[in-house]
Amino acid sequence: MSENTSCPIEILLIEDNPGDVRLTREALKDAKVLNNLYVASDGIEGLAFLNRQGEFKNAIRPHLILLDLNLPKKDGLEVLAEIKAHPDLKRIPVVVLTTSKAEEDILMTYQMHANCYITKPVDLEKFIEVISAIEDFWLSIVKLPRIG
Amino acid sequence: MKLATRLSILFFLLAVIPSAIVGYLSYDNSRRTIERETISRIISANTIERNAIERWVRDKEQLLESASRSPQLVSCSAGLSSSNAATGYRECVEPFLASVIRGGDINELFIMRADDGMVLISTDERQEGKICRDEPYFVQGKSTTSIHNVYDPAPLNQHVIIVSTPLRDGQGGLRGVLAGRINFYNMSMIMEPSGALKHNEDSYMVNKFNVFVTDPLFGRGYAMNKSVNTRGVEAALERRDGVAYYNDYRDVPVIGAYCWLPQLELCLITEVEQAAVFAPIYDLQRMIILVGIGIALLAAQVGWLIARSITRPVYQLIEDTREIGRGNLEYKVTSAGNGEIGKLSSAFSKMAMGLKETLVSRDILAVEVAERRQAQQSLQESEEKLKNMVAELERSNAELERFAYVASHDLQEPLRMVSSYTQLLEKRYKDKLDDDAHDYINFAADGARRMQNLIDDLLIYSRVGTRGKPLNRTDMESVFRASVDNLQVAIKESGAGVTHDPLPTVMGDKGQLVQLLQNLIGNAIKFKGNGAPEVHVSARRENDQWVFSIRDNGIGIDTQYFERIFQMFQRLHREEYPGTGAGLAIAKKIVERHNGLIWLESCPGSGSTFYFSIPEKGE
Repeated sequence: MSENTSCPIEILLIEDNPGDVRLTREALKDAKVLNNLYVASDGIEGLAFLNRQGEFKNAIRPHLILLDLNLPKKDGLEVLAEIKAHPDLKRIPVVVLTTSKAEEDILMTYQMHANCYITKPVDLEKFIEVISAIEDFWLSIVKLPRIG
Repeated sequence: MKLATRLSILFFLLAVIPSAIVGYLSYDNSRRTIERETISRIISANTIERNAIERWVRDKEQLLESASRSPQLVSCSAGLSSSNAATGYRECVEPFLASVIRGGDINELFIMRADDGMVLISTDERQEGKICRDEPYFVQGKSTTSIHNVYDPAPLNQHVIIVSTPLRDGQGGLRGVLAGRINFYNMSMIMEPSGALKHNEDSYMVNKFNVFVTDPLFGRGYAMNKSVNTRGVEAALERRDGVAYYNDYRDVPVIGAYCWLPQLELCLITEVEQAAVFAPIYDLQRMIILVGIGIALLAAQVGWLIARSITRPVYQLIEDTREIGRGNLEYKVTSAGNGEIGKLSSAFSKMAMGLKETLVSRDILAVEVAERRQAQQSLQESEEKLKNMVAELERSNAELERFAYVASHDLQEPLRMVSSYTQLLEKRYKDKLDDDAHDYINFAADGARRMQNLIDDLLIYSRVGTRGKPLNRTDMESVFRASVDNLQVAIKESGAGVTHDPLPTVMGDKGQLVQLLQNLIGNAIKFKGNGAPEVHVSARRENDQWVFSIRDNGIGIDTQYFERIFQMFQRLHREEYPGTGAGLAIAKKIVERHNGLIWLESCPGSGSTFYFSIPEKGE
C-alpha cells in the first residue's frame, strides 16, 4: 500500500489490554503507510523498551508512542512524566489513549505535555478513523528531525 | 469573758466605789468630829482641874491670911518680942492653930519669929526651934502672903508646898510669919472628885524634875517614885499649854492636854487613849467596810442575775440557731417575749422560714437545672446522632458516587471490546455470514450502544457530585447560548423555536449549569407535541433567589409522575422517545448542588413548565 515510503513508521504501543492491542493491529493493517508496531504490556516494560534496557537492549527507537493511561505496575501518567523528563525521549510524539472523558480531565489537570489524546471509541468505524487520524498526524510531523 | 461575769464585776465595782467614797467621807467626818470633841473635852477637863487646884491653893492662902488676922492670934502675938517667945504664947495660940489645921487640908501650921525666923511654935513639935531665916517662905512671908515649893522634904517623900503670910499685932507691927505646910498627897485627893474625866481618861501632875507628883490612873504608887518624859510633859515643862498626840508613860498612843502651873511649878496633864477615843470610829469603819462589801456583793449578785436574764434567752437562741444551722429548718425558735431578744428570736424564726423557702425554691431550681441538663444532653446526643447520620449519609453518598464513577468507567472497557469485536466480526466476515447471524450481530451491537449511553449518563450523574468545580459568578445568558449550541442538531431537526428573556448572573458551576439547561431544553424539544416545539426560558427574582423557568408546548406530564421523572433511569415513554431516563435526575442533582430546588407545572397535552431556583449568593 505504501511502498513509496522508504522507511516504515516505528510505533510503540504501551497497552495491557490484548483486545485493544489486536484492534490497533487490525486497524493498522489497513493503514496507508508502512508501519512496525511494537507492544509493551505495562509501564515498566514500555520504559525499558524506550531506554533499551534488558531484553530491549537492541530495541529500535520508535517514531511514535501510543500510550494507554490505565496500565499495571506503572500507570500512563508516570510513564508520560518520565518520557517528557528524558532529554532524548521527550521529542518523541506521544498520543495518549483514554477510555473516558474523565481521563481527559485528569490529563488536563496534570498538563503532561502529551502531544495529543484520543478517547478510545466504542464504535469500530470510529476506531479506524482514529487510527487514520494518527496516520495523518504522523504525515504532518514526518518532517520533524529523525531520531536515530 | 462571759457576759454574766462581766456584768457582775461591773455591778460590783459600781457598788464598791461609791460605798468606799461615802464610807471614807463619813469615817473622816466622824473622826474629825470625835477628835474635835475629844480635844475640847480634855482641854476643858484640864482647865477645870487647873482651876480647881488654883482655887484650892487660893483657899489655903485665904485660910492662912484670915487666920493671921484673927483677933485671938493678933492679941497673942502682941506679946512676942523680937528675941524670945513670951511665956504663955504657946498656951495662947496652940488651940487656935489646932482648930485651923482641923478645918483645912494643911499638914502643919507653924509660926516663925520675925527677927531670925526660928520656929516658935508648930503643930508638929519636931519642927520647933528650927531656924528658917533664909527660907524663901520666911523672907517673902514677912511682907506678903505667898506660896513656895519645897523640894527636899526627904522624910515625907511628898511634894510639899508651904504657904506663908505675915503675922502682925494690932498696930500693924510685924510679930512673926505664919506658915502652913501642905503635902501634895492631899492634892491628889482633891483632884479625883473634881474632874469631869471619864474612866478612860487620865489626869496627873509632874514636877519640874519629871517626876510624877500624883498617881496616874494606871500607875498606882508612881507619885514621887517614877519619872516621865513624854512630849506633853516636855512641852509643859517649857511653860507651854496645848494639846498633842503622843505616846504616854505606858507607851500607849494618847491625846493629851497639858499646862504649866507656874505657882506650883507643876505640869498638869490630862490624857485620853486614842484607842478609846477612836473606838467608835473603828467600829464605824468596820461597819462601813462590812456594809460596803455587803452592798457590793449584793450588786454583783444582782448584776449576775440581770446578766443571766439577758444571756439565758441568748444562749437558748444560740442553741436554736445551731439546731437550724445543722440543717433542721423545721426547728421552732423558742420565743423570748417581746424584748429585743424576743425580736431577735422572731427574726431568726423568719430567717429560718425564708431559708426553708429559698431551699425549696433552690431544690425546684436544681430539679429544673437537672431536667434542662438532661434535655440538653439528649439534644446533644440526638445532634451527635444526627451528625453521625449525616456523616454516614455523606460517606455512603460519596461511596455511591465513587462506585457509580468507577463502575461506569471500568464498564466501558469490556463494553468497548464487545461492540468493537462485534463490528469487526461483521466487517471481516460480511460475506460468510447468513441473515440470522447479521441480525444477531445487530442486536449485540445495539445493546452495546445502549449500554454505552447508560454508562455515559451514569458517569455524568456521578460526576456532578465528585467532579464539580467551585461556584463562581456565572452569566446565565452565556450558559443559555452554550446549551443551545450543544443542541443545534436537535433544534434544526425539530424546527424548534428557543427564546429567552434577559437572564441574570448567578453563583454557579458553568459546565453543570450548561448541562442543566441543555437537559431541560433538550427534553422540551424531544417530548414535542404535534406542532413545532416552542421553548421559552425566563427568570424572576424571588426574595434572595432566582427562579428560572423553561416553558414548552410539548406533550405534558401527568401529575402522578411528577416525583418519578426525577429518579435515575425512569422513563415514561419507552417506545416513542429514545433516551436513558437520566436527564432529569442529572438536572435535579445539579440544582441540588447549587442549593436550589427543581419542580414543574404541567398538564398532559398542554405543555410543561420546569422551574429551578438558585440562591443569589450561592449558599
